[in-house]
Amino acid sequence: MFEQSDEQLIKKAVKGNKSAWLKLVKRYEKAVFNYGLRMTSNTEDAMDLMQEVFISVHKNLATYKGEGRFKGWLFKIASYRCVEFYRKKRPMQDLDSTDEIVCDAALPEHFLMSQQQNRALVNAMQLLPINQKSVVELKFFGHFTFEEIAQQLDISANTVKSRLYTALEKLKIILEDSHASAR
Amino acid sequence: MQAQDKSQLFARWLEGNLSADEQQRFEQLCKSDSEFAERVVICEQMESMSEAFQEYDVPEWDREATISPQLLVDDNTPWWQWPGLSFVSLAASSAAILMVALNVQIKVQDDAVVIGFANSYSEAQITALVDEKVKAISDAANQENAQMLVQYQQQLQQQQQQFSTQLADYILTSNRTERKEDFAELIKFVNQQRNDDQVYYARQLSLLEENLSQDNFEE
Repeated sequence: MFEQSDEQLIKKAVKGNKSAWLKLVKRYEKAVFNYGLRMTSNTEDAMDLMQEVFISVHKNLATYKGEGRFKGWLFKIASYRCVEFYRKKRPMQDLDSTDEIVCDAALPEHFLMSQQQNRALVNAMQLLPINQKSVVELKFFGHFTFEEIAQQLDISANTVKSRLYTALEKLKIILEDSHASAR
Repeated sequence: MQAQDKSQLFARWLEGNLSADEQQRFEQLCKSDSEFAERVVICEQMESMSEAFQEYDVPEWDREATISPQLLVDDNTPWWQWPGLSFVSLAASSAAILMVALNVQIKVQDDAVVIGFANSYSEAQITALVDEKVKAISDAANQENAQMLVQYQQQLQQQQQQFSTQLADYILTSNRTERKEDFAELIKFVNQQRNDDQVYYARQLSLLEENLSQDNFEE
């Protein structure tokens, strides 16, 4: 059986078709949830963030013009929501500075069974400021191009590259420390 | 190589867009520039970690809670309760009013449906068209009238000739009859006169005879 394209589901969902919207949610919920997990390192927060993202997407679905991939537009909203989420949680913190309370609510144990590498990666990412973390997330997990990331974050492609290179420098140190302490 | 070029090369490598020449330069840079090589290594490490990352399943959650109530349409709503119906009826009424106001005419002509406006001609065009029509009708009528006049003239001439012939015949016939009658009258009159004369002479003779006989008697 043929699977309906994102555009077909969006058209129906805009007209108020509930089942089309739910299909669209099911298609992308895992990606958004895991994005939330990596960005927040907390299941509850990831769930809240995911719900906020889909509420926002549904409200703005009629404004989606079909320019570019729907996934890109979805993650643009996810990025905005994530920044807002951070601002709510840390109203006084600069977005370019590192989160001070890393892993204060780590992933539940059942999520991390025999997934030590996942834990190491998520923990390492938590040590990055939100702006750099977003770029790393979108580049390595979202597999977006620099141009797409620039559009999603409303910054230039050069800024994206600059943030990524800085993040990579930090991640190198963090992961080396992590390996050293593991030994 | 400048930092900007390195950055460009690294970005193109990261997106898998290196040409053969760029690939060569990239490999040389990895050998000669340790900082660049370290960035490549950490990048590869991140890529392998992201590929190995086992995505977590989403716990059960209320997906319907993401739907904005104002955008929600019940799939089981009957068609007559469709929110767009009022708009469609308004649009249909407006279209009908416009069609009446603009005097839209729909014709089937040469197996095709032609939709047009009755007032698509200007006043001057209408006047010209009317004039042309009237002239055509008038010309046709004049031509017809002229033909009828010729026919009428011919018929009148024929009729006149017929009447003249009949009159001549009549006159000739009537003259002959009159003359016959006049002769008859004359003959009758002459005969009457002769009869009267005969009666007169007979009476004179009888008177003379009487006188003669009386004289003889007296004598």
